[in-house]
Amino acid sequence: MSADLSFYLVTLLVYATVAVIGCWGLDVQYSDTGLLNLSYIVSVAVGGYVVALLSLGPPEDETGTVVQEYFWGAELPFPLPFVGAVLAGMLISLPIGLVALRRLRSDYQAVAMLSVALIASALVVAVPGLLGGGHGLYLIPAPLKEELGLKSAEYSWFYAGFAILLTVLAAWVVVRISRSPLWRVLRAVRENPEAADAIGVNVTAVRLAAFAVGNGLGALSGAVLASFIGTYAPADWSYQETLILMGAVIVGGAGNRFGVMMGALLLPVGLAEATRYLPQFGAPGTVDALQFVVVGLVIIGFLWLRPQGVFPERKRTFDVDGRPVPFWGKQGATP
Amino acid sequence: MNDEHILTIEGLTVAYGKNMVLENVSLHVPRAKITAVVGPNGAGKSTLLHALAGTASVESGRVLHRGQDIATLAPYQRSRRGIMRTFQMPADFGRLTVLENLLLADRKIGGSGFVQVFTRPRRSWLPGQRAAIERARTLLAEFGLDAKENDYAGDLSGGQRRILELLRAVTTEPELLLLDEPFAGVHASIIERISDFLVALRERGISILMVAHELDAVERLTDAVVVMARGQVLFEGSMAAARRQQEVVDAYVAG
Repeated sequence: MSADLSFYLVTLLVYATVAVIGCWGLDVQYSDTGLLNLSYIVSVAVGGYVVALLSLGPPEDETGTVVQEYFWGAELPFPLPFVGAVLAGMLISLPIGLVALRRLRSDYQAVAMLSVALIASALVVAVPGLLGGGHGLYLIPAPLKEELGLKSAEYSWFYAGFAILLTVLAAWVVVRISRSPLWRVLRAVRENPEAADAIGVNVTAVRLAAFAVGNGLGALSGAVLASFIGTYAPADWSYQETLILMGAVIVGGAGNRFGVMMGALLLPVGLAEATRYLPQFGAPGTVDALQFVVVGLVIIGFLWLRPQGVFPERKRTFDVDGRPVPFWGKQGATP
Repeated sequence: MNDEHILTIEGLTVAYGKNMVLENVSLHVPRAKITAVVGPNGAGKSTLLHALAGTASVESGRVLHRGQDIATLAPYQRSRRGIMRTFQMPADFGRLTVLENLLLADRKIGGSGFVQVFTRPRRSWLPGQRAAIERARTLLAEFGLDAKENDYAGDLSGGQRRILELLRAVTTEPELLLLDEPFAGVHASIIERISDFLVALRERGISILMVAHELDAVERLTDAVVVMARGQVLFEGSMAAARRQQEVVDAYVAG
């Protein structure tokens, strides 16, 4: 295998894990719990920046020269930067969630969330001393690269394996939720928050917890991406990115973990790759912009013709003995 | 604490803006009895139910349950204390199956919190869930809904959804049921069935407070009656006493 092809495949693989983990986090929030989190990409950004800050070390070198601008940094051993990134993503959910999730109305939530996304990126760009401004952070160390002493090509495959391992971990989290009684509680909050409240569900607490778990997965996906490409900047997390992830969830099938994985492989990864092979035409950036146009059209088309997605949320049924019927089993007698 | 009364309401006032909807309402809800709240449109019957369930903001007054004022508790907290309400319009979880609607309300199943789900094995909740499914299926069979257990609740007819909501409320094992027009939109043949079910619940010691538009429909069931008009309680007492004061009832129920 040529080095170019090898690098291309690894990049594709890592991007796929980033998209899949990110979409699963959104799936827990949007599909299961009914949270229209238009600031989801902020949690991804928190993961990207925190993994960078926790592995870059302080912004000055030993001589006191400022290498690049950011407010604080530490050099923690692997895997602590990743753990820190996920925890930070979950923690940021508390202030955002307490403001946006206490009201029952989802239109209010959506607007509040979108505002959070816009404020966050405006703030990062406006204050370069915070997180490197518009240029972002760079030279983010690749985890374990020095310790392993591998050549670049070999290391990149190691990293792909690590990313796949994290995807398996994320899969365990989301499948665990959808196979437990908790899944009913989340969907009850989605279907009818007032009625859920009436039967004894603390709706705000459930929403906050689902928000935090989803954002934790979002942060994990941001961390995997930032550590891989070695830079992280506002261009990586513009608010439209949430739309692409949301589109992947809707197309794949909201509430169906496998469907969402397929959606993630199709939209954010597949479509980006497809447009790469288009001949460049028009003004610079036209083809990139077309990507958003296509994503938008695909979302509208699905909402119109097949709102449940390619793989719809599965109906949870139980056999005569009260055991959950697994996905390969026959569903209940009634359609 | 009074064993005779499950709830004691003292000087309850609810206002939406300047509009006083409940004015200084005081009454007792008897234990293990069926009490009907009747009155013309706009009398404040539904608002009273909302105030007891926690979905109307109470301006002043107290609601005493087991010696504690619950007037400021959140709806879910009251529900966990055993005060369970139903809605005027059926409020099912549309894209959950009929069986899942009932399982949600069963508090004996574990595994419904994030911490439990990620710290305990599945076998810690599966047996409890199996037992709950058994109970739910028995309950559904009583109303001929057992064949519908895998249907989405949103696909049921209006009457079936009302029954499902009632069964869901009962699954929480409440002390007090607050029913908002339980017979609205229900076929006459099913009214009988629901009535019998409510009487059976009373025999099990469950107290019921229900809002009814017309006294006629609930007369057979009720032990006590509360007549309301213009946000105030006009009469509170037994069905027999209510009949003796026929003119009061007539004047305000007829509206």
